[in-house]
Amino acid sequence: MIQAKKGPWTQEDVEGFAYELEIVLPEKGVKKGIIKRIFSLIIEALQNIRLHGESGNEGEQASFYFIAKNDDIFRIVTANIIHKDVIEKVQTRVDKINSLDRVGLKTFYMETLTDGKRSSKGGAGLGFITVAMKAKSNLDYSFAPLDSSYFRFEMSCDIKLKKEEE
Amino acid sequence: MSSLILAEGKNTPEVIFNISENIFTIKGKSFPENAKKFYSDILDWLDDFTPSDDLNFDIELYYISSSSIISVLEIIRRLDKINANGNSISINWHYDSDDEDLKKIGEDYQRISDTSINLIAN
Repeated sequence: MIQAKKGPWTQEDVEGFAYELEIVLPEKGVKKGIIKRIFSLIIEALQNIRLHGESGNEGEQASFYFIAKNDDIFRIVTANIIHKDVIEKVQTRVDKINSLDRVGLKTFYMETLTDGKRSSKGGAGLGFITVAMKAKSNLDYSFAPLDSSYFRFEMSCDIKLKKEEE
Repeated sequence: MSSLILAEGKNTPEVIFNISENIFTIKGKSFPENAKKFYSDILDWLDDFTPSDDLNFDIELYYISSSSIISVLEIIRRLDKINANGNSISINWHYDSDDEDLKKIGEDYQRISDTSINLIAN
């Protein structure tokens, strides 16, 4: 385990965790190129929680995040609360991303980039695509019901080490 | 029209649009939570900008989030518009030589934009 946190995130937390990786990962012998990919990936993933995560019963954005490493991969896991009404939209988007090969994903990225529509929260639909492109892996996900309206949305992806470094 | 100078922040780049010295740079990292808000002043400034000479825009970003990628594209589209009015602005897109992703972002902009974009490996 390299980092883990649960509870609400401030923008300062996001920056703090990202910058800490710049210190911790070189000490583990991780190359700069992979560190930059991980940095960018967790910025997208954690800002996504801040933008779209719903609040729990205590009025705070309930969420968790961790990044762990073994000899072969980094695994990055995030979870946040979402309303049942957005599950289909999220699932459709992630399923589409997972169905695309590298070329197809790039095409989808370019279409979304040039479309340039932004949501009221400032997002532009590139977040999940960017996470998948940075990870170079599928996005595993699950939804678990918390009550009649809200679900826990968990997402994980792996960044392979060996392929990149050998 | 006055120059636009923004100091580098923890998640925002240094911006220098210095009219008197003809220096135009965006440098540092860009992952503000609300990129649309951060870049709105820059886009407003460009809406009023009419260059008197040919000039280069130097963009050198170490980190760039997906929402900032869209905002930088909006800057480039403003430059496209200025160029369409008979001016000659080119962009130097600087990237770390070992950062393939940043190079690809520059290549993406080349495909989308009519403005000349030079990719420069540091």
